[in-house]
Amino acid sequence: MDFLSAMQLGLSTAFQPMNILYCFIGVFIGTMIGVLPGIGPSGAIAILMPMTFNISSLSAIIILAGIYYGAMYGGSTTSILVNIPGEAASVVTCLDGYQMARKGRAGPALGISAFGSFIAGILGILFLAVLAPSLANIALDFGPPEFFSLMVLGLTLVIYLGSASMIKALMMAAFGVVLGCVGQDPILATPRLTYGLEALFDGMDLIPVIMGLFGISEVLINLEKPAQRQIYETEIKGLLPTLEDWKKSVLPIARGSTIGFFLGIVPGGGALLASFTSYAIEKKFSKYPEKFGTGAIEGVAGPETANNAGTMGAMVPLLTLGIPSNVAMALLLAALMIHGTPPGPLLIQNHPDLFWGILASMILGNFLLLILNLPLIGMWVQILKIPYRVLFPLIIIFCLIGAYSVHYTVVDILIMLIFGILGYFMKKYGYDGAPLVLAFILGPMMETALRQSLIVSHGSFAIFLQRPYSVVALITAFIFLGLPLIPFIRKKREKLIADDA
Amino acid sequence: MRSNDRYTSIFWGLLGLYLAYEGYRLKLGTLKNPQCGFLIFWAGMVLAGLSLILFFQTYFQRDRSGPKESLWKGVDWRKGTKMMVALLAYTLVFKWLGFIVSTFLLILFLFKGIEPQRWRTALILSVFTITVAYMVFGFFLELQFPAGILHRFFE
Repeated sequence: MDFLSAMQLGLSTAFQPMNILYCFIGVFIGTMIGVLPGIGPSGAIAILMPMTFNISSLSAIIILAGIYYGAMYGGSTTSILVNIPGEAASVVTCLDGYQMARKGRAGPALGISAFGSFIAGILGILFLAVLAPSLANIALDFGPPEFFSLMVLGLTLVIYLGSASMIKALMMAAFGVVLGCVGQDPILATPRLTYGLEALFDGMDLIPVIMGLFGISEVLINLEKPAQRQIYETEIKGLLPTLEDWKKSVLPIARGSTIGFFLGIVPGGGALLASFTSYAIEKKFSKYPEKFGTGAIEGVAGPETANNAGTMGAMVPLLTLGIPSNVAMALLLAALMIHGTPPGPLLIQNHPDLFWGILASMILGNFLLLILNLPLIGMWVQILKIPYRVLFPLIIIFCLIGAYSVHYTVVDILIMLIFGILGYFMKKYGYDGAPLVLAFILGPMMETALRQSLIVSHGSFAIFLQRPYSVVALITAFIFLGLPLIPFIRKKREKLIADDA
Repeated sequence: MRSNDRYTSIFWGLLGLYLAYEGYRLKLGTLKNPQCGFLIFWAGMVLAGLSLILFFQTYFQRDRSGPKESLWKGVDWRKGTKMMVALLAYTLVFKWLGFIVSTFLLILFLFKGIEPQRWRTALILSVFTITVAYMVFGFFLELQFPAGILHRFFE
């Protein structure tokens, strides 16, 4: 199918009235989640996923993906106005965005953030449309050894790029692999770690685990100490950036879009790494680096562009290889599998309407987000003023409804509470939840691929070294695992992580 | 802080050894024919091994964690504890009382019992929340909630 026919198919599917409504619902909720600190896009996707079981897989992904990239738009609002990032990828926007607000330039900061995100979103979708089919064609030749090695690489990168302590992250990944094994053995159907509980025979569901680790635990952390949220009381006027603002921002937007997209493809990268990298690059390229941190518009344009481009890039490994690169993508993977349309190399071939429909809906979503984030900024500012004592019961109720509606059993609520307590202590003691969740999802897939590979090779691990893509993936993974052992690189990495913190 | 890492590494180490034992009990098989305990055993061993490394690191590596303030200083643990106890009670009465009654009581407790709020505000917010939640999830999205003691009204 040529590109134009494919986009036509996608547009005709995405622009059906109900899908337009679902897209609006997704980006609206995503923006709200991004604006409100307290629950991130992953938690929101987990809570809302059971609600999508009764609709088509395309409509479900339209809503859930809309939440993900919508949160990137919304996160900038709180970063600029409150100096508190609405979600992790907007952390760096606080540095210059809030300073611009203090100087009475909140409007242009919000404006360039929205326009930059929009441009990055459209460019990211175009990159995705070009890259994904080619990658899917290559991946058609992949077998269990390649998939196993790619998943090892993906998990390694998540650990290396995203976590302050690699040892702790590796421990969480190992624990996540074991949690993914709870239930029936995928080949022999033997119950594993079920302790005779019927509720665990099918394993633990991802949704209660994520809601506990990221939703309940976050509420527990926020209840510990009184929340201090001070909205900078400035009149927001002039949302359109000036010509001078555009002149300063055009190159950061171009660089941010490209860097963001390709970093988004890297597991563990995504929007967070993209925004930090963009900020560092813009500061290096700037003629006036000393202005960064005092209200430089480039410090807003670049990172906000990069984080939205990163969300598009993250879709590439998910849709073409079936390998999620972060927690939100793991949830989209779960959603696609629940709807009987597993992502992977055959997705574009077998379900072209789904693939191109998702892309077309993201184009629509980015247009809707521009409208939601500029003219309606006043509404989001009012939402920001909702006190946390009103917000957290609503988060809890949504978590409870979401957990219960997966299998209509209170066991899932109990699992959520257990993981909530575990997540709380993990956060307190510096253990990252993302490697655990990704290993939980990838663990069973890796186990099946490993055992199939070993059965085919009669127990020989050489099979992983006989396939070129597998060799490259494994060598890259070992390099990243070994890099922290080199003192110079370890110090650089620790400094980067400390700067990020 | 190093002492925190020391204690948590002991916890994870013991857990790793237990998981390795469970994997061993499920049978490891051979490399030609790995059995259902294969991955659990090795993941448990990796967890235990890394915990040991972390434990020794706390003695030999410089502590770069910054100011040595206790993690629990200034922490109001009562609110979180009350919330978790309420949620546990909720799971026990959920099926018996039904979604509407149990969730209403829970929301009311969360609005009033955790953070200071006026009774009138808490009641209004609770009624509003349960109404919207039931309309959206129970009625519009057709999720199946237990009717509980209100079953006569839903039959």
